[in-house]
Amino acid sequence: MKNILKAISLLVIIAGCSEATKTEAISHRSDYVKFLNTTHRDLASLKKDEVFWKKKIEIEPRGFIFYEKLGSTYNQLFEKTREIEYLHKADSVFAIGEKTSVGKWKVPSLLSLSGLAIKRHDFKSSATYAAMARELTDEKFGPLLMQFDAEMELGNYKMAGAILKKNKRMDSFDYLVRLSKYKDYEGDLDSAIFYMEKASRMIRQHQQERKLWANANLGDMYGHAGRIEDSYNKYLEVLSIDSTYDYALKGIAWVAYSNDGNTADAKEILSKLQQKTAMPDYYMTLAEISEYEGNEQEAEMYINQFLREASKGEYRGMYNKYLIDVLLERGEFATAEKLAREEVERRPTPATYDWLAWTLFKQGKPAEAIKVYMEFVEGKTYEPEVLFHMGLAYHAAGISVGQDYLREVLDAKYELGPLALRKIKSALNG
Amino acid sequence: MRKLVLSLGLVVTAALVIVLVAADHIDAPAVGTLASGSTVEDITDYYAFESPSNSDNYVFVCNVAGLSSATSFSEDVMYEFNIDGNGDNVEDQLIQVYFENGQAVTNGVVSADGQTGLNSQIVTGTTKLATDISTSASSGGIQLFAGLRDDPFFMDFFQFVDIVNGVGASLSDDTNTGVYDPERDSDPDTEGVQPYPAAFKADGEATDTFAGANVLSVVVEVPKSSIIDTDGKFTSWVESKVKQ
Amino acid sequence: MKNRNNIYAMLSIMALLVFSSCGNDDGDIQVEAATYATVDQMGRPAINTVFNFFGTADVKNGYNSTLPSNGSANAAAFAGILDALQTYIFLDPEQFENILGVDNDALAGVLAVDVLQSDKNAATAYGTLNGRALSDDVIDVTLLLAFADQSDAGADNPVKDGVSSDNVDANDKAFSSSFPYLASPH
Repeated sequence: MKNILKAISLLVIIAGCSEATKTEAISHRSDYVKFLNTTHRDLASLKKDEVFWKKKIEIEPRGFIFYEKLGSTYNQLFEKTREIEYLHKADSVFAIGEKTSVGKWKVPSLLSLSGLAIKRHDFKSSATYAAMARELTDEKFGPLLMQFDAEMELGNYKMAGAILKKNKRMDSFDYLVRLSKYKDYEGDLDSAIFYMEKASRMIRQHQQERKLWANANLGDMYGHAGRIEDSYNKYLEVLSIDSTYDYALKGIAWVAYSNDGNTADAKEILSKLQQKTAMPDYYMTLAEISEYEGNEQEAEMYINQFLREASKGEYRGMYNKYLIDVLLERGEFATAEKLAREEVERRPTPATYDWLAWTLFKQGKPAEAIKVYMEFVEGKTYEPEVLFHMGLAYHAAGISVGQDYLREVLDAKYELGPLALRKIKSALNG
Repeated sequence: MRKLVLSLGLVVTAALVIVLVAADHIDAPAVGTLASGSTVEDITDYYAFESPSNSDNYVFVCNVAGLSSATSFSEDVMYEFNIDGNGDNVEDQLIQVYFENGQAVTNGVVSADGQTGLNSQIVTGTTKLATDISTSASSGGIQLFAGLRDDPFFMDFFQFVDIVNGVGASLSDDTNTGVYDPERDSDPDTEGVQPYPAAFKADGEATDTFAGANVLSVVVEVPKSSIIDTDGKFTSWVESKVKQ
Repeated sequence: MKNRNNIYAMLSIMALLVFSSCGNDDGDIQVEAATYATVDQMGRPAINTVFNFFGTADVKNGYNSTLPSNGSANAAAFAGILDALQTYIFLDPEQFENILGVDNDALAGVLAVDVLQSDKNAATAYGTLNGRALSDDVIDVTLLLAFADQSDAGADNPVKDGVSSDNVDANDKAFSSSFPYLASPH
């Protein structure tokens, strides 16, 4: 029986491989080369707004609306530049807006603070702000949706699901995108796509930010569903509206690398993106691609650059997941485990428990790792990356279901990337 | 006093939270249903007055997107001035302004027959006047402008808020319920009693909250003779309408 | 990963099929003029800010989408808010009479219908309830209508004068005498 399974899985792998080599490349340099050197044109207008609202505040220190406007300007500056200082500035300005206003006037600031807290990965504060906002207004819908976002991050899926169930509003963009997110959590990717598409059809011309956002999300979701060409076209569509929309360009880099094996272009795109923003994320993907190419030295260089940026104090733990990965690779197990336990403490989700279990597994404590997986992860998530780790751990421990998980995540080979695929194959063959 | 400040509900820009670590999904935007406050759907002010340059004409103004840096209109949003000439509060005539091919368009004063109420369609008339954004144009006695202007509204809004917050506090406390009390503390965090104001600030000390701010403005001037009335009297109001 | 949860996935695929077959039912393509639906409306200035300051969201949203022909529905709530504001500054809402000689119920009844009156044959001035010009100080007019008590009961009230004007009397930029009249942007 075991041999048959092994044979079948081998077949799957072979099929998977030949498919990968035969597929024609989806990404074409001529489609995206024009987006490589775009600059963020509208920073000037945001800077002008910053000066204007600061001046208004100077004249009228009670102007809580002005603080909200200034906070929103900083938030946009953060989105454009990814300079973390803007995120903290936005946070402190909205906090003054909240203090300066009374009663229901606090609600806009509180909801903004809730959204910013999610960006900072401070999910408990996010839930607290949303709850404070809910208390102060009769319009509960907005605060409840913000609470939904926080509960999802905190792993309180039941409560998040209940919020959606009790506040159904199928004509609301904000509702539909969250329903989509919930369906994705449930592992129902087709419904997730269905609701995101429905939401995107509701967007009007003057809601460009939403249009970009929804389409970039659809790009990701199509990719997860294995519809790589649809995914690629969505990213291009986003870039055709806003050539500076980095998230879509990053998606194109992933298509080039993960689907087309075009590591040179993928690295070029990511390097350009890295030059444009302060966000250290791109270094990690660059390191992965270098490692896939077998260029350990280059990978090491990118990781060092990542570490230099991401361990800066002002990120306040936002990059813990990547930091854990890097620490594990370098054999700094105690620090990795400490970070993982902090994350579990902050938000006990299947994903954070996976970081912890993976940390335990990597430092040669398979029994402890399996215990965490069984108690807190297995059956609670459909995230391919988590199943991939869990499958490897189970498999190494001789638990046969590990192979099943690994074979299942082969479906997600595009999402996980070629490096993970290589590891899965070697585990299944070994 | 206009509506802007109240409908500000939620000023959060559709915050596009990109999850830095998860890398896969982008977080949902901050809720936008309340976030209207300062979009081209949100009317901040409405004006209707005899033309200062020609007493045979009447001018209608609809301002939107107050206290925002919005600079462009939407082809999905139409502004509809409603005119009731017989006092039944149902519109008899419309002036619709909509946007296509980057231009503002109006068909002038048209009959509201079949287009009353919350839902309506574009009504064509004898005139069709189109103009570039921020550029005035005229045809058939009608003038049209749509573009960025100084916000004409003026008020010391935050002093008003402070006064009214005192009313709110008075209604929720146990003593002197509902009545001004100089001993009522507006700021328990600061030592001593900080009373709520019961008056606006003096001339010269008051602040125009809206000074220096812009709005997106839609201005239409039409001959008085084209407006239906009873003994010279009519009523009017404006709606922003979104394409379904 | 294509189908993270197969049962859900199948259900939703079925749903998609149903939807798409619905969409394909119509053989003839009919081009219909687009319908526009109201999201916001405004007639008279001041209403939402003053009278819905304490109002619930339902009252406010209802006001923004209530047709003028149904407008008086909110009159009772408006009158209640006027009463509360006057009580706060030691006026007696029972006896209050404004400069038009009108009591709170009557004023609320007028204001609750959100339309702007105009008279083609008289000069525009919001203060005489004839249209609204760019330079009209609509805040002061509203404050006068709401707080300037002409009744004997309010004659010696010391507080009401402090709320008769916000003391911002004009726009920060001069209006133009030619179309489109509003000042150029900053």
